[in-house]
Amino acid sequence: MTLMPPPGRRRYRTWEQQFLGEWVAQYRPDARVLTHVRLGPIRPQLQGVTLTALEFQAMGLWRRWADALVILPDRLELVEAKILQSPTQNAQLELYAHLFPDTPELAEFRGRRLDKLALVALEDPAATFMARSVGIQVVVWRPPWIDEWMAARDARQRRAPRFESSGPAR
Amino acid sequence: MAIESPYELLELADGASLRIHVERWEEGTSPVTPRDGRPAKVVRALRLHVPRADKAMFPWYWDLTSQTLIAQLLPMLPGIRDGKRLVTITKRGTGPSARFAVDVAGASPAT
Repeated sequence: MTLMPPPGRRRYRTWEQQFLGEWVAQYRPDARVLTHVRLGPIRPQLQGVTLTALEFQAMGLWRRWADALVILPDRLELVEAKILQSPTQNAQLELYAHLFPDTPELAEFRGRRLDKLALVALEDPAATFMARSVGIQVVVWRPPWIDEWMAARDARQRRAPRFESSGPAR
Repeated sequence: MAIESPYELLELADGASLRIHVERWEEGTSPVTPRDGRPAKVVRALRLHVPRADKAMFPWYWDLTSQTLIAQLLPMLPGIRDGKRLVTITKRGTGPSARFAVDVAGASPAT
C-alpha cells in the first residue's frame, strides 16, 4: 500500500477550494455558507422532447454551479473564486446571477440583494476593469501559501497578466 | 499520522445528504480501497466527531476522504466545532468525479 501521491508525481492539491474555504472562515465567520451551489431550473425547458427519468437525472447534473453563496442578514454574496483572476470569472458570475431567481432550492432568498464577488489572489487589471463595469466586486486576498502555489505553476503561468490588448492575429 | 481504526468512511449516494453537528475533528491519513478496481492506497482523511443524536450507532464520527470535500470544509471547522452549527454535506455525481456541496448554518438565526 502506498501513500498518495506516488513518489515522483506532483502532489494533487485542491488549491481553489482551500482558497475559498479560508477566505470564508476569515472574513465571513458567522454567516451561513453554501458551497458548490447549483443554479437554475432543475429541468431544462425542452419543447416537444420526451426524456426518460434517467435522462432527466443526467440533465440535472448539467446545471451550473457557483463556488459559494454567502447568506448575510441584509444581502447575499455570490462568490466565484480563482487564484489567478480570469475574465471568464466575470461571465460566470453574470450567468449565475441571472440563473439565481430560477433556482428552486434558493427560493426563500429571492428578493434579497445579490452581490457578485470575484475572489482572487492574483489580480488581472483588465479583468477587474471589466468586472467593475458590470457591477462585480473584485476581492483580492492573498492566502499565506500563495508562494507555494506559484512555485507549483509552470513558468509560463507565472507571468503577470497584461492589461493591453494583444490585437488581431497576424 | 494515521487516524485510528475503526474507520467509518462516509459513503453517500448521488444526491444524498448527511446532516451533522461537528464537536471536534482529527486530520490524518486513512487506507481506502476503491471499488472500481484501482489499487488500495492511503489518502488524507478528516474525522468529524458528532453528537450521538446525529448518528444511529457507534462509532460517533465520520471519516471523510474526498480531497475536494476536505479542502472545502477544513478551513471552516474552527468556527463550527462547538457543535451548534448544522453542517449539511450533499454528494453530487458518482465515482472519482463526484463533488460535494456543503451548507454551514449561520452562527445566528438571522442568517
